[in-house]
Amino acid sequence: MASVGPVIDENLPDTDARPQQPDWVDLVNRIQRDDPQAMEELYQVFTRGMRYYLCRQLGPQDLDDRVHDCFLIVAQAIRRGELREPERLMGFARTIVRRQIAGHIDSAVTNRRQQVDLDTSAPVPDGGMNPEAAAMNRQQEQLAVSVLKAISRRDREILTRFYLDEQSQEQICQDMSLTETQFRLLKSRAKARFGELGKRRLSRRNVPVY
Amino acid sequence: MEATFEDHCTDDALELYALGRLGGKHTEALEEHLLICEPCRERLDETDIFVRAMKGAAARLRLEQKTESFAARVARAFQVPAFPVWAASAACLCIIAVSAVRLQQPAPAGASIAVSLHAERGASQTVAAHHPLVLSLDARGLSLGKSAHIVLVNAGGTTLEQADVAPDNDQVHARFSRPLDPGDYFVRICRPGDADPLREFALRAQ
Ligand SMILES: [Zn+2]
Repeated sequence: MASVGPVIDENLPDTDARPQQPDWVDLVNRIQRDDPQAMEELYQVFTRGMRYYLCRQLGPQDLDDRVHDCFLIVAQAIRRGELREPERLMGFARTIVRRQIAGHIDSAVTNRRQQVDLDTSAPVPDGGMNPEAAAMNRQQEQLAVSVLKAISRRDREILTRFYLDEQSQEQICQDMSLTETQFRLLKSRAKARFGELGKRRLSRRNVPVY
Repeated sequence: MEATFEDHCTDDALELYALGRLGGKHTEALEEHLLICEPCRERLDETDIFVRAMKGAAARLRLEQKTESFAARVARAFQVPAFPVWAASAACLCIIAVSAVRLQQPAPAGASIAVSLHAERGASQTVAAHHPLVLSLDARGLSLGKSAHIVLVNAGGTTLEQADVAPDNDQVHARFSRPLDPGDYFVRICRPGDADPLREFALRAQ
């Protein structure tokens, strides 16, 4: 695993867009006193993030129900006084969501095993994406091909080692005699170029054809 | 490491998370932050797209490379010059032809044009507009080291394309895929990470 330095950076990305910082201890106290406003606040703070996380891990199926379940578990735990460190509410919420995901994956695996035992010809869900998403993926990959083809063979090897071969930054820098800054610069240039090409393609698509 | 609500995730952390290579403790902090931070969720989505595309592209190019080297081995076995030899010969011929006669013969639409640029004060090379360029730049006396940063800018100084390339003896080769509209352009050789040009060449597309 590569060492990543700080995971959180206070200079990124836009200071105005920073998330609100609720007073977790106060929020937990008010929920325990059955303050409906506090429950609403809890809902506002967490459900979008929960939805995002659950969707990322499990896909859009039954998403509303899953978010609802996670929220209820968090809310009930607070009410019952099971949250020992109210200032760690965010960590607690994350743990609940992770447990839900792990539980879902476990049951999905069990179900699939049982299905296979009953009928070996049962189709296995392929988890495939829809044609639009697949086409979008192909376009994005083509943009990345353009990025990689436009750089030197050596730079291409560096990026290939990192993104495809899953080599760590340290290993690549050592093998290729690179400084950490050069490595970062190469990655950020590639990303910027990818973004530029994507925007250009998007703008071309928006040009009306007469 | 502590995550606080006032801070945002770093690009490195988001990228390693998207690659599934962020360590446990870091993952915990990042995921807690993601729960409450919309901007970082959007950045993670963008990172996911980039990482997925780069993985796919790198795999595809590696496969192409393997296929090419296999073709080259087959060609050698049958004593037929492989494609890269023909390509190199063709590129050399193009460079000579363009240097000698400049634009007497317009290249077919969309085809790359090989252009040799020499370090002569006041000299401007004329190339055909609307074609990608394969540039060979005179890098004599620049002591570039292992890498050079080549930048193509328009007359207003706006960067149109750039690439990091490995110098080849006293030359630097760069391919710019963006076809140029008629006008004046400049090609700059810089050190990687340094915007100040070491040498600049004038180019006129017409
Ligand atoms: Zn953030």
